[in-house]
Amino acid sequence: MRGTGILVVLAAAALALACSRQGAPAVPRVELPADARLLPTRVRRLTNLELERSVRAVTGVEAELSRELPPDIRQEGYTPNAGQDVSAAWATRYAALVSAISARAAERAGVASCSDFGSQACRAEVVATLGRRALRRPLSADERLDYERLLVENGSGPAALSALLHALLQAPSFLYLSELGRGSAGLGRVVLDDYELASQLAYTLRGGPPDEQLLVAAEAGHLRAAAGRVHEARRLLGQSDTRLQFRRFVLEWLEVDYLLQTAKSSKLFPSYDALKPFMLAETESYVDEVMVHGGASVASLLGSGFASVGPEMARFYGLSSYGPRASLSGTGRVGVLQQASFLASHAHEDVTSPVKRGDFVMRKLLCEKLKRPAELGIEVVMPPPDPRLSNRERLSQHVADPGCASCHLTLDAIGFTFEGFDAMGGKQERDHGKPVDQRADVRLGQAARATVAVRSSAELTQALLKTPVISECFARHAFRYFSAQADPAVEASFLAVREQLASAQRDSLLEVLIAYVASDLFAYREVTAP
Amino acid sequence: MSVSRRRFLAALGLTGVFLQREAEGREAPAAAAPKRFVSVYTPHGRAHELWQPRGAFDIAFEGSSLQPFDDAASYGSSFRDRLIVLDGIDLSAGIEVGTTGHDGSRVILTGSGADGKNASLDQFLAVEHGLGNDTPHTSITLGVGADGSDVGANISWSRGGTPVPKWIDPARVFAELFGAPLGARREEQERARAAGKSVLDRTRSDLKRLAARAPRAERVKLEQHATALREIEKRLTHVERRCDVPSAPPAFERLRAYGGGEPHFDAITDLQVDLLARALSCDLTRVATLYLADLTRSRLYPELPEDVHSEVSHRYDARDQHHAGSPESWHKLALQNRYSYGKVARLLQRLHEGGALDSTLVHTSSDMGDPARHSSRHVPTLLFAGAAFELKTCRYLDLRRGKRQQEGVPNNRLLVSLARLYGAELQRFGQSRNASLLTGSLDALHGV
Repeated sequence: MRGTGILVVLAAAALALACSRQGAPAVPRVELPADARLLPTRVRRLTNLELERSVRAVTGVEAELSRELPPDIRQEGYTPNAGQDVSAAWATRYAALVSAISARAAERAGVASCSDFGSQACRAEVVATLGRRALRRPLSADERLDYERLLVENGSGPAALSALLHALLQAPSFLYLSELGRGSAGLGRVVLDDYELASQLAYTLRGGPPDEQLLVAAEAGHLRAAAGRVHEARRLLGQSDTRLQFRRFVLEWLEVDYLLQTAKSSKLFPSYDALKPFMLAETESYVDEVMVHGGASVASLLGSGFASVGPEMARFYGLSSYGPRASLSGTGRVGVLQQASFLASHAHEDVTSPVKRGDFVMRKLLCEKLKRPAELGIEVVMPPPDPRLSNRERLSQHVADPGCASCHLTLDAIGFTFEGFDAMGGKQERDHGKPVDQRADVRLGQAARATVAVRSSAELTQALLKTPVISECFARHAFRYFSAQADPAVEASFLAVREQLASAQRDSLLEVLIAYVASDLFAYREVTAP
Repeated sequence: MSVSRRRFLAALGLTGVFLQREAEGREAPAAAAPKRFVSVYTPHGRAHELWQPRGAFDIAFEGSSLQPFDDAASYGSSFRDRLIVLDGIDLSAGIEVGTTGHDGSRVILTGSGADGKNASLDQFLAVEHGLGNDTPHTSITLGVGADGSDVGANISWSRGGTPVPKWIDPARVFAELFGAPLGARREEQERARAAGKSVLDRTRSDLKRLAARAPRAERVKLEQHATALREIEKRLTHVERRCDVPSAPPAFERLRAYGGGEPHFDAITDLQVDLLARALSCDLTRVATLYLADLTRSRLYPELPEDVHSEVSHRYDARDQHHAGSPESWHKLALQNRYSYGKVARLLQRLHEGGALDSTLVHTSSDMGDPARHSSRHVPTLLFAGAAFELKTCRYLDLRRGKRQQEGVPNNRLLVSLARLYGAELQRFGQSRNASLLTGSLDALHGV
């Protein structure tokens, strides 16, 4: 029940966001520098989750496809990317799954508008309707004939309909998001066609296929102009299930989506396995709150001061109440960096990992690229655990070695501020019998002139919030996810678009995505060698 | 027309017979039985003190981790006379770019770091060299406990640089290999096959249309898709089974490491090994890999801690010229090693029972040598070569070099030599900016 309640609240709030702009829909005016690099023409296989939603939209069958398929390839940690492939193992599994789903769908009423496949008119009608829904565009004459023949080959009734659905769900035009464009726009560029624009909008903002209204807008040519795209984008962002896409992004950005596959020492953390699902649910609910009500900024993710928890996590955190906005006052927790999902994901099985926690802040909030030990020619030799030393004392070995110190001075100091939380994210006051020490002089970025003295990760968060780079860094990571690529040159074009927004809008992920949608970066592609 | 272009067209069905002819041309003159290749990943490096054979190739001394290979009482026969122990194989291309330690398994069969785009040896043999053309499954890729796409969790990699998904559920492996997914009755099967064929025809047409418009950079991806469609087609082709179908494995509620699957891993591993051996013996495939899990949380050995990873492999304390090391730590790690090798011995036993051992080369390796150092040098490498391979077996090859024996031989050379055993006359294998790593073969393998 609670889940449904939140959904309704979200839908209403998201709608408010969309409606408040009615009458004078703001279309950001963004220009790309003439030499800006664009995304290449490409075909991107949808992620397992995108396919799950797409298959549901075509068949109406609520199958959890993504749990059954071999896992996605990741680039920079993100699942939407052009490296996603169709391997033999993936294809055979997918074929078996969609064959069964198609058979189930074909037995249901309402999937096809007619059932007399002996009639040419009915075949044409079914192929045109289902084809457009699956391939997200009208079928070509060739395609229509081909699929109509398929119906003939497979007799009549459910068997024929099942074969048609199966063929559509297995079609490369269904599996891949086409970004090939039409004709030439000069300067080695092409513009995406109307239906490609519709699919881009839908998969970018919702992680799922375009709805009927979007296809109609494409058909009418409304998406060619920035205003038309922005209008549709605001409509999509107002839909309640758009939250799933933002949840997924934050989970992958925060590197907590693997949480259910992690383990802790059952001796030290016997409650971990049972709490894991609640930890993940907390972060998901929190993302909903922040993305809808909190300005969708990294600042709100880091420091909103509330938790979105049920009774289980409230008990774990020692909160006096639970709900979508339970106060965290007095707990030392302020936002996503003090959530158990983050703390547990960035820790070892038995002890905390200041290195992993510090490394996350450097990479994902400050966008600092640290060299890995191998790149510096350092062969890491792990020191044997010494029960007399605290974790912090043991890691001080890093800075004793000048080769390691260059990075670890910065990295470990940030990580030490999290020592108030143990390897599963619970409160920790002592480590190996000694009081924990969360104080550190942190340098927020290698170019930072001075260090900042902080006494805990909550204070570190406050210091981060005063560091302008975190907003840009968050936008860069978001762009990697939402545009499904990580080319630094293209990222620079995106940052040029973002720079043109007013400063308040620049911090809102929603407004930044709207600006991206309005820009040529969204609508055009750079032609790569044919 | 370049080879890759021709292969691409062939894959799309435009020059259908090309692949077949090419494969026939490359194969060695027909021997009695087709050659087979299996590679097994074993976790946590090795305790060198108890892994290195002693004296006259003694592998059954007290505490030896190789003991299962000379244990006829447990595994039906001794496999010592088929064994070559390779000491001093380095995962050099990975070390060059930092793909080491837990990521080292990326390098074992590819000879490339994380940025490599070439296929691993198994996929090269099965797909590019055509060893998998004539069997219902071009290759099979199995694992225990981990089916993620992480760099460190896979030894089989496709051309293009993506991991080949692993089957970790024995019930799924059984269904894929021996099940009748097309329906129980003959006519149902025929109908399903016809429907599958007509679906596949449309998929091919659509792929052709898309490929005609896609830029060159996307070609590898679409070519791989076309290869995958051939695999679907193979499943639709009726195969007369040449052997008995084994009994179906039980369903396991939990299958994943860190997800509660650990208590079942021992049983799952045995089933995976048995199914793999059966697949090879029945000629359902000729190429396979198996990624083994460790003993963490298995509670199989009371003398081992729950967390074998942190408390055994991280605490291995090796003996070297200046340091006596800790024998207790060797024995604990050797127990883990012996457990993994026991599963490999089981595989050899099952292959022997199925009459496929003489025609199979079994390769095993790990991502690390010394696991406490997370070092990808001197990874423990074993070969079990059947008679068909005409190798000088039953010996220990010490390839370590340098003053303190810290240098080894790049695994790329081993991969070249292994590929040649299947008639692929390669000069190099793998990718690295340091080209000197890639060329050359491991001549010592042939007793030169």
